[in-house]
Amino acid sequence: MTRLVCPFCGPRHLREFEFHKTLPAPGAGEFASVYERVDSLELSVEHWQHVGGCRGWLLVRRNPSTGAVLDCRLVGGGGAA
Amino acid sequence: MTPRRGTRVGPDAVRFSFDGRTLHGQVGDTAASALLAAGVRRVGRSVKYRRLRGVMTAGPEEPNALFTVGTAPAVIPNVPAPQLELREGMVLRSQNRWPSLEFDVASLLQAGGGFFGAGFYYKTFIWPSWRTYESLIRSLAGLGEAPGACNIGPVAVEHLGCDVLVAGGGAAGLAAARAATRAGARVVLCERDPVCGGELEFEGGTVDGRAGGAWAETVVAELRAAGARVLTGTTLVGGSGGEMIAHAEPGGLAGANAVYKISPRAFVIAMGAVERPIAFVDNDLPGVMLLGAAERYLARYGARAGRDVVLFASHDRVYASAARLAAGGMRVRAIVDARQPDEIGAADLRDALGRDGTECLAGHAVLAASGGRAVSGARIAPLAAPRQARTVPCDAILVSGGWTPALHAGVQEGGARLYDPRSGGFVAGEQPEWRLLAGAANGQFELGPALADGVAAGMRAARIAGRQPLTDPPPDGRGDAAPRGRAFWRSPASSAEEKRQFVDPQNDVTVADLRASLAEGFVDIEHVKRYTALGFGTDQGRIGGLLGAAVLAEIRGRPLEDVGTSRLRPPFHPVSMRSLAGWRVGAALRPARRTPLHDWHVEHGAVLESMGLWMRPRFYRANGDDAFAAGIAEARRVRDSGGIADGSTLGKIEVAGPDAAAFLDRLYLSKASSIRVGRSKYMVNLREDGMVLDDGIVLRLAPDRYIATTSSGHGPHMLSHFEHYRDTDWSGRAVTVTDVTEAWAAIVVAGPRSRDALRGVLGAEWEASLARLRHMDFATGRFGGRELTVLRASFSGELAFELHCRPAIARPLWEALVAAGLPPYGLEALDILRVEKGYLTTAEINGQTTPFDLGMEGLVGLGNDCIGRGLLERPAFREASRPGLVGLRAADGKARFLAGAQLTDRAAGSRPLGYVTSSVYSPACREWIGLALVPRSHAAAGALLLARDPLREGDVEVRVTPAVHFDPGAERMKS
Amino acid sequence: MTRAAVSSGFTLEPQTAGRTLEFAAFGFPLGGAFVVGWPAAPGAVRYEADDQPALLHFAPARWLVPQPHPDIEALLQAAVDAGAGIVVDVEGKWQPLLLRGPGAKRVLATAVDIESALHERACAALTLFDCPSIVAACAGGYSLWVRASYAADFIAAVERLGA
Repeated sequence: MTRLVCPFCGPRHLREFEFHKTLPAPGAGEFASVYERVDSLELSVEHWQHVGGCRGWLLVRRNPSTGAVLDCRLVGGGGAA
Repeated sequence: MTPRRGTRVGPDAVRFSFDGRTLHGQVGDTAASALLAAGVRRVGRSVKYRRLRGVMTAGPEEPNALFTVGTAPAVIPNVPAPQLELREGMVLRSQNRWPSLEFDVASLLQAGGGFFGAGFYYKTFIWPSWRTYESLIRSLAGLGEAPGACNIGPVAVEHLGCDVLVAGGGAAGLAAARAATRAGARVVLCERDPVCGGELEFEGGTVDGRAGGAWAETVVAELRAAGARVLTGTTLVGGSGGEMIAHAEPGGLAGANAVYKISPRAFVIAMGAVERPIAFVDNDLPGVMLLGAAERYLARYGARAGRDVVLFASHDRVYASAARLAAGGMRVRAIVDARQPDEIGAADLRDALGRDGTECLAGHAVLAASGGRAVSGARIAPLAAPRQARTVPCDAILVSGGWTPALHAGVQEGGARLYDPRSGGFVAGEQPEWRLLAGAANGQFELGPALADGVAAGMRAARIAGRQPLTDPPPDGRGDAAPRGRAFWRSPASSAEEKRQFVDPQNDVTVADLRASLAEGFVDIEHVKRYTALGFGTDQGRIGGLLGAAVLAEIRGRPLEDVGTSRLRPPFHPVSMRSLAGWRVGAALRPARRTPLHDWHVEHGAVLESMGLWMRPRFYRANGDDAFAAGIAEARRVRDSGGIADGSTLGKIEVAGPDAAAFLDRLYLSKASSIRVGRSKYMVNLREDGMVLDDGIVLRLAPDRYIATTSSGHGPHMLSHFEHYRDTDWSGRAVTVTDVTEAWAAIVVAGPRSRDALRGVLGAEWEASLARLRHMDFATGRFGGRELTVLRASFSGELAFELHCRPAIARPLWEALVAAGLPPYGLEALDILRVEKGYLTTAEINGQTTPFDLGMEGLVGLGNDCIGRGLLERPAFREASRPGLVGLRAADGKARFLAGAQLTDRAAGSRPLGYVTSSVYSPACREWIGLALVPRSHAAAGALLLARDPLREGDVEVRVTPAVHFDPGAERMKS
Repeated sequence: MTRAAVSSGFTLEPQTAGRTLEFAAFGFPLGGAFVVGWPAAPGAVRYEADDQPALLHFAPARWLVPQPHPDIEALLQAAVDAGAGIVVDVEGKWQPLLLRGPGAKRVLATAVDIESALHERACAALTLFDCPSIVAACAGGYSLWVRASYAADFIAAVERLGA
């Protein structure tokens, strides 16, 4: 049920996007930010890349229980332009 | 198509064959309707007990009538006959029988000792071992036979974008599609049948005062006129990531399959409901059919399920059905209603049926179907007194245990199902906003409310898609009253008889099997499924799944909602492999990336090798018959005089902007900012955890402009890596990252003659540059009017240059070099040359090695604060147990050892210490040499180890050497 | 192997690749330097007088310049001078192709949901038959730029669809 809407390209099929990682907790130290992940049923904050499209890096906030995407924006440059 | 209630119209025009018999059907028939009309009652045998079976349903959930279509080798097995449109000359064969349907040898096995229940084979054939029997049993098991040869036909794949997708073209689906279309939404409607209408066609109801079928035709015309896509004969089979997939598979090879991938903004599921069977003894005999199927065959095809029929149900709608069957010329002998008299409505209809000679029995059940090879009667008894049974003669028993909403598309991707006491089944739980259920799929079984539900869903879907629907009153639908029934699952039976009460006919699962499963401790519904096969097969449990769960609930004394049903998974109905493949067939399976020199390589006898998606020359046939011989010849020639290789597959990333130098300093272990313009440096990237990620040469073109090269295999990944840091840690800085891999072809020119040959090829204007270039310098200029960069760098240990040129001049430049006496060499030679020099590839940079492991302490010592630098300082990375890169040679100077061999010390039974990462036969050293990763404690030069390779080379004694096998002082490279 | 003739009435013509640039701006959203003359919206395209796509905003802060006309070069140079971004010469990276005819859309629909991808956009970066590509609407069909190393297989995949 995960549907990603690329802020640049619009809605595209999930196969165009590549999951990179779940982000560590804010303020995590160097070791923790490499090895520790926030594992929450309600909210997962993730980096994805739209490799099959504009190649933009995306900051995705997702409910991992339902797959629902709460927010998807370009990591480096805000939301939909 | 207009209904043809009770009559066969037109000439019997379509000729087909069934098990070698020539038969005729009508235009518009399915294989199932044509066989019924032709009086063929036995259409297959069951998968395990080899029991004779007849057509049971009128939809894709058909468990029995599965045919093999076509003639070898172009055959398709397991096609459900009710979904198979009849075509002239179609060749059909029944399944699960040998030598013939009427006489089957394997069925005799069953006749001898009664039925072999679930688990029988695995428990019985254990001596001396299951394997003794496996091939025989497997030859008897399974559904139809797989075709012996490729039967891939044309498949047309189409991606459709739309606002609203409606799955199901019955009353609710049509109402939803019309409401959404009228709101201005772009609509796609999928209907699995050749025509829309669903139950409307034969229910006898009216919509807005018109016959249901006629209303459906009007709506379809309106939809098409408004630009909606109405896809008939097309079943929605599943989906993911918001893309739903619908297949049109006519079944035969004559028609082209179509696959639609539909990405809607809102999705209305109006796929109706599936009628349920009731378990009674021998309820799988040919002649036992679902009531709704019999109605459909009569109304749509004029084919009668029987002449004298008994109806068995537990809801009010059975009486309206009976009246329609009677009007179609079938004699309804009895209606057996399992409910008590005070639960039953439809008094007027019952009175009228009674006057016409139909016996209406309340509180009764059909205990058994009687007959040898087909139904000849129904044993009927009061539920209160099962022993007072009598037999009513008939040739068909039409069963309806109620309806289960077809909510597959709503729960296949996960999602709750809720028990619905009204229907006795499950409905979908909470859905994401964009997915809506309507009509019978939503538990609305009555025409009027189903239409209203459809309109509401269509309007909501349009709104989700950003349209403003008008308030449109729902059509006025008048049809059968709500079924108003009570779920009734099975008739009383003795425990011996339970072996013949079929719950899931496709998998021959009986009530006795369910009891056995519980007795064996397989209690959860998913375990019961695996133990008994309940719910597997082409019908995916649509016939037997819920009935099986209900019987389990009864046996366990638990409510059905606690037992649940097994998970509904895609595909909704069988999908051919060719549809799954779509356009990805043969060479299109995955693309190949070609360098600008690809055609030259092919024209000149190169044997190509895949490296990721890239195609690269492995060796050239002119230099030897096989890779081993040619590789040695090519490598030797590079050291003796010179050669050229195609390096265009190297990844190239242009990093530009005022912050480029600082950005690259973060990405590499050593500093890019200290490279002077016109110089390059061998550089290494680390992962965040300190492991080496990749290596390559970084060229500084200008103060604010670099080109970073990556290994060929890592190119796409390194690009993502660069882009990631540009967008995260470095967002807002003035730096850009551009993939220029294809913008620069690369030709490696190596060997003692390389500089002289280049002088001749590049001409006088390059003379000074070539003379000036020191190791890792580069010069830029032009050749043939296009840009050319000449970099002096070596991956062979020889005096060598990399020519980075625009693709347009790659071939002329290459040909000029060949003409100047530099022959090409491939990957085999490249590997030999680099192993001789101890240079690294992904065999050593494998994601598990640190710069310390690979002998790069010097780079770490520079103290650049790059990605991965912090975690590289962990003490464990300095321990003696960490691997270190070493060279290897056979202790006897002769033996061969191969990459992958495990290295141990020489004591028997010792554990692996490390392994051989690379090995080649070195023409320069005249023996096998290798690189290996072994603990530093064992890495001293001269140490003896065993290279153990039991499946290939056996044990070879090897000696640790320095990693650089040839020219350790690098004199040749500096010459 | 049977061919799947999904479409007729299309032609696919490889074009000669000339000088080709990519312009990359420093950061996204875009700064004030991209107001006049720049197709700044995602997927926007500036067409030249001959209806040829000349400046394609195919990725965040990144434009393809297929055949730089003098006025486009001037526009790029002004942005570079303003310190807003940088030009990269990518000659050889993209293979231009023209896909035209009544069946052209159906060809692309075999690979992707082309209608949605170009919904309210003039160009899009896509994966067509597994090949990284840029598509722009043009007179009579589509201008395509396919990554050059994939071009041969892209052409083969499209030709396989023809009758």
